[in-house]
Amino acid sequence: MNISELIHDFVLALVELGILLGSLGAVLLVNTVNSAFSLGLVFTCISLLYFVLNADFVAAAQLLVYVGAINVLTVFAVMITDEPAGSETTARGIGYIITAGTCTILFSILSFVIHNTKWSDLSLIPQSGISTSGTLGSNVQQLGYKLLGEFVIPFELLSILLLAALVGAINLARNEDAFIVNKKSAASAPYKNSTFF
Amino acid sequence: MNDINLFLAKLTYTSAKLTILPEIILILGLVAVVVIDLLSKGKNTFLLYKISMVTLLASAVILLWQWGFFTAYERSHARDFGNIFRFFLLICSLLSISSSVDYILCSKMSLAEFLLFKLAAGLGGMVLSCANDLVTIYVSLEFLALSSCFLSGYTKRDMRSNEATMKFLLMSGASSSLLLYGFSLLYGLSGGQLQLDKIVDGIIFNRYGSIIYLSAAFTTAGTAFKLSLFPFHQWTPDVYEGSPTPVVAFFSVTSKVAALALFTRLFGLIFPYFSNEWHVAVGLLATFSMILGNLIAVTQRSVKRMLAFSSISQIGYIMIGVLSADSGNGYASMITYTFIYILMNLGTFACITLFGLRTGTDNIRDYAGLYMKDPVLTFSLVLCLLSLGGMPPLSGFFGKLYLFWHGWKAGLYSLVLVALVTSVISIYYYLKIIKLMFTGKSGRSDTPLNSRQNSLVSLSISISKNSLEIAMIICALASTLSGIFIDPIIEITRNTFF
Amino acid sequence: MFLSHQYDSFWIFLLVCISIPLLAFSITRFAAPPREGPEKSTSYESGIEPKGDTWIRFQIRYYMFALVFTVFDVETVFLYPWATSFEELGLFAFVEVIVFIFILIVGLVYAWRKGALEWC
Repeated sequence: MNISELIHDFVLALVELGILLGSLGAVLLVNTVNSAFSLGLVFTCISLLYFVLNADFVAAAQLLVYVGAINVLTVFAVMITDEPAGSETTARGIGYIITAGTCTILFSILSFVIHNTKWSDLSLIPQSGISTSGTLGSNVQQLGYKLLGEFVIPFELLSILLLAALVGAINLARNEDAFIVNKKSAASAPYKNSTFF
Repeated sequence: MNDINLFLAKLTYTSAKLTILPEIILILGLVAVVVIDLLSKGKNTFLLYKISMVTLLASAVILLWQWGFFTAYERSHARDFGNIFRFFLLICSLLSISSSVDYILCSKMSLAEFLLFKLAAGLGGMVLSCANDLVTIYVSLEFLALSSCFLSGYTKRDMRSNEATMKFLLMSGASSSLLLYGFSLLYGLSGGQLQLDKIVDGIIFNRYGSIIYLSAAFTTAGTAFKLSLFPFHQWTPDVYEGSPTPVVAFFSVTSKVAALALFTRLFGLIFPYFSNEWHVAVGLLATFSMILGNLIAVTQRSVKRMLAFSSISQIGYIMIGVLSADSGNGYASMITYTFIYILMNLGTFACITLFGLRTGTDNIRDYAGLYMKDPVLTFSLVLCLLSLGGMPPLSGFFGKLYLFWHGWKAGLYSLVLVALVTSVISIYYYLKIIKLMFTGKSGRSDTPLNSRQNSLVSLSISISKNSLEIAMIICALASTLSGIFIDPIIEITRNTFF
Repeated sequence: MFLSHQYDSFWIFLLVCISIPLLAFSITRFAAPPREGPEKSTSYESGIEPKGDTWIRFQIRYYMFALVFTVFDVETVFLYPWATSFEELGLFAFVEVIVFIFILIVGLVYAWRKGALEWC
């Protein structure tokens, strides 16, 4: 075992430990701010995991979108909430046991099946021009070819999806009262006071 | 002159060749709705409504024309299947938009975003039902889920609506992740293929048996969430109760029809090698959904909750059609019943929307004595409900008959027996409402009709009020009479086996 | 295993980076004398006496900006592969991307007109 492999294994273990601890923290921590930052740790570690697995563009995208945008959004969402009203202990009823049992069974089945499958026998179908060395440029360029050639319909659909998400989020988050007040002052309709209830 | 003719012919051929032209038209209409709303500062609501209707109609016409154009040359079963479902989704969007404009105007919410989300959801469903690779399937599924989620939270002042959105968002996220896990296994096992037909070629089935089972299980769970089959149905009643009524009408048909298309395609194309196993699993799910859906529906007090459970059971019936497919008839019974289900369900929800708009409640006991107040509404509701229950002269009966006969022929005896017994139960609770409407003492006769109307929007209401009633009457008539025209429908849907 | 050795220096760098703050914190714990007091546990506000609770509700504007930012962040990620192979992909891809951007510009205009980009 040479030194570089050792580093690799060590980094992999560290990253996965980060994911595990971070996700546990995101679920179990009482203070929501701590949970949000713990979620940030998970996202960062997942991005590093992509680096370990040699998927650099996905890693960069993960860092950019999840850590840079979505986690900030989560933290802001926590910031606009009220202070949590004390930590009441959650009741662990029959549903808790059922869920825990289901998750355990699912996990054991998954790990058993994944462990017993001979993944190395899979014949990767050689796709045109994908080089296994995979430098950053060629990898991303392959993605570009695929995205704008074969998958152009989902690509364009994504822009509409983003549009719908933007419109929907603004529609949900915008202050409707201010809008109504503006309209009221513009139309000078005095009898519409009952809209605010 | 010759040149122009040649050019026209060329244009015709290209536009017929471009199979996503109906979707492109929808995208254009969707962008136009946003742009016009921005330009007119939210005043020109009627124009927006007209634009979306015209877009949907044009899209439907082009779809039909392309379909006819292609059937003349070549026949592809998969394309037929996709086209039928795209057409269904267009009908759903058309009818549900025309029946919901009124509600939106009355509750003084902006129409543009509502139309945008409805068009977007319809678009997502259409792409989903003809998608052929995993990327498109996932993107369009998210599209549909996100738009439905925004729609369900459209009345954001209502706490129940907020709760419904939250539940729907979490549930659709969870189900998408399950589905994605199944997809990732498929992708890995086929050696990096994304096209559905290539995945089948790429997978060595007898070598990786156990992990393919796992992938199929995850895919089933993911799609069963969308279809709200039995163990994954818990979100349905809450979301249905909380969301605004026309939205419920929309996603009780649209997301179900799209998810049905997805389910059928995925399982018909990818997993035909071990069809016995998943047939048993899906049969069990369908049985439980029929039994539980109908039994719980009896006890409900709110009409929306009752219809939620009834829709769970209806999905169970439709699953019989999926399971009983064979190369002779294809998915004919499933598609026919789906078509009738769309009409019946939209009709029922249109009636409930109208009732809720006038009285502001959706409790079952408030329907007492409705016959005295509004006979037209009562008759449409009666027709739709009876059709849902499967009373003999109405089209729901013919649809169910065809479905059950088909299932019986395919050897699904226990499933058909359960379906028969549970339909009888369903007739009981439908009849309960009908009896209440005709004989019940109207306890709240002093409830002012048109109480939620406002003089400010009454002009646009008087235009769109008609559209709600027209949609309601169309649905009621269609769900009554389409049983007579069931033969041509079956004939069209016969060639749909992959 | 798909081991890639091109990032070895990056990993070493990362490990060193992570270890520096950890070391700094642990050294102070060992070296500094433990002196507890009520002043120590108050939050530091530039020497001024802290007032009120630390948990206050922020304006929703922050959220709106983060929201718009997220959408355009995702857009950037999708444009990056196109930009790296701009020359090879040609005109058709350019038109596709123009359509992509146009639809998102409609979204931006929507956000602008509905007042999501205004601070007050």
